[in-house]
Amino acid sequence: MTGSGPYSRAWRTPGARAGLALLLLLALAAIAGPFVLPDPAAQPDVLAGANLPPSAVHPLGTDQLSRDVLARLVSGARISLAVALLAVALAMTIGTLVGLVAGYAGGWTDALLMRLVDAALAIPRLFLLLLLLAAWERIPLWALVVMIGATGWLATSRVVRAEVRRLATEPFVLGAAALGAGPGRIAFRHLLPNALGPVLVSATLGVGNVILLEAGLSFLGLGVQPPLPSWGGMIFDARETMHAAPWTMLAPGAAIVVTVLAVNLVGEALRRATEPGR
Amino acid sequence: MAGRLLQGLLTVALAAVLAFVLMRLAPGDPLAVLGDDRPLTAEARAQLEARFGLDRPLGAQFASWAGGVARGDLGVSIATGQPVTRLLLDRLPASLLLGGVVLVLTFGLGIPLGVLQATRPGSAADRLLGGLSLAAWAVPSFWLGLVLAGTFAVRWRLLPAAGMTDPLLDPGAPWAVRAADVLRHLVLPALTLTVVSIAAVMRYQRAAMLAALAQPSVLAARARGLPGPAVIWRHAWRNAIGPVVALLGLWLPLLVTGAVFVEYVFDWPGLGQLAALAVAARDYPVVMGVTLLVAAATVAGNVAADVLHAAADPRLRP
Repeated sequence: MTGSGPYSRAWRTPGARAGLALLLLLALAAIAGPFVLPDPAAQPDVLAGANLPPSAVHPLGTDQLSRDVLARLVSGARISLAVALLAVALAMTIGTLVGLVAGYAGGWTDALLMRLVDAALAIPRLFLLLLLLAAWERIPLWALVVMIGATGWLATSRVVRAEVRRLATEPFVLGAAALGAGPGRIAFRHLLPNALGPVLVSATLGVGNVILLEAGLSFLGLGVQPPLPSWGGMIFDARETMHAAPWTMLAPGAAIVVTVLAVNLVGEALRRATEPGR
Repeated sequence: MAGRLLQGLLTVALAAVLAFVLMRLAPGDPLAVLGDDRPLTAEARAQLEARFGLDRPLGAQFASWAGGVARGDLGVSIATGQPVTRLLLDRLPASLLLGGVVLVLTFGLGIPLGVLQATRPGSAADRLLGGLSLAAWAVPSFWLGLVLAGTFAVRWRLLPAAGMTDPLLDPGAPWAVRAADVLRHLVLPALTLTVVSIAAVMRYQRAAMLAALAQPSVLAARARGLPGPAVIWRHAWRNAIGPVVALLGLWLPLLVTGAVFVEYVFDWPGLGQLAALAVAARDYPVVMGVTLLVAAATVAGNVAADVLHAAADPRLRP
């Protein structure tokens, strides 16, 4: 790629390439893992096979129930990545629509929506989620995705609103209106495509945040519910085995750090490449 | 400024309404925690519902709750029966101590590091620090806390792993001995929180300082032959304080979020641990109480940041 657009500019940063390569590797492992690795729920020998150190059979050792740590890690990657991608997609859709409506409609609609966003932003996202999730007996995965998504659109809606307001006075938008384009057509054909750049950046950085958030919620028992493996849940389980079997603690933590770092490297490069006046 | 304060109050009030609505929209039984191990009889349930006002219509519940909040009464903990306001006040000092130390550490270290990066953009030091802050940003606080506690407290026995004081310490011990004990307990939680929240300060300071160094006034100061440090700190940095002060408002939610996990992992008797325990016990009124306090603190932080920003930057004065 030799273009000079923001995306090829982002692609030329070594950090972005390293991040993308890592993510590709991770996605590959998440997809291929179940065909190669043992069943993540299998407990072959709870007495003699628990907390085994890494070996050829179990590359990352086993946990206190003799389950293969690598298999659980990869299985957790599927869940973590799926939750993060779906939740962020939901958040970006809501944020873009709210921002579009607020920015384009203006007036009372805008004031009302933005006051609500301000109020919700006063409560840190974790606490919004605590309020929403604390009451469930066992949180189904879909509800987790919906709740994480429903609390992640606030900042995005503001960014899109600002972008839409800036674009609304551009000649090409005024021209479209003069030619008789209706508000729906202007909003979706002219404003939306041009306001998507910042959304892509917040989506990428949002995925990293959501992976951390989901791990934290699962650690507190409010996220992915056992026996489904999740990285946060694995860290919770490893509290008791970390001295006898440090790999049970190190593996899921390293998986989170590497994944979030990879996502953020890409997001960072995108942000810098799309930033105006760099 | 009065307008900004009023706007802040309005935001907190709206956030309180929102928190109430969210909690009541969520499915679940507020009394579930009491019936966990011993099923409630119908009479017992009715009695409890009357005690906590759950039998009244939602509007009436909201009105009495909002009236209580306005008077500083946040209700009663379902799990322990204690007033929520009392619980919050009991735990505030520990949280303020931890938060204050972390504030000093993150800004005290983050500002010079960000400035260092900005004065040598693209250098090895800049790239190393940038990489480190990006990596620190990706570390889950609870995992780092567990690893540090496992290493420094359990394996090497250098520092205590949990709590704020040594339970075996004689309460009549001299003041300095007890302070040193608290300090030893403070090291690991403060370190964990600093690592996970310093990246934001460094990155903000670096960007603000890069912009400030590009100003013509900095070039002029250099042209007048002023020494490097004087140019950097007295001329450029003064123009780069604003964004960092504004960051105070954004940094607080970051700290509070981290504190929930770190206080939980280290058994630090603060508000974060209270929130984590209340969530585990599904103790609604307590979760609500902490959330409201956090929302008020966040808004206050934003208002304070705006006011300080205006004071530091003459261009923002009316």
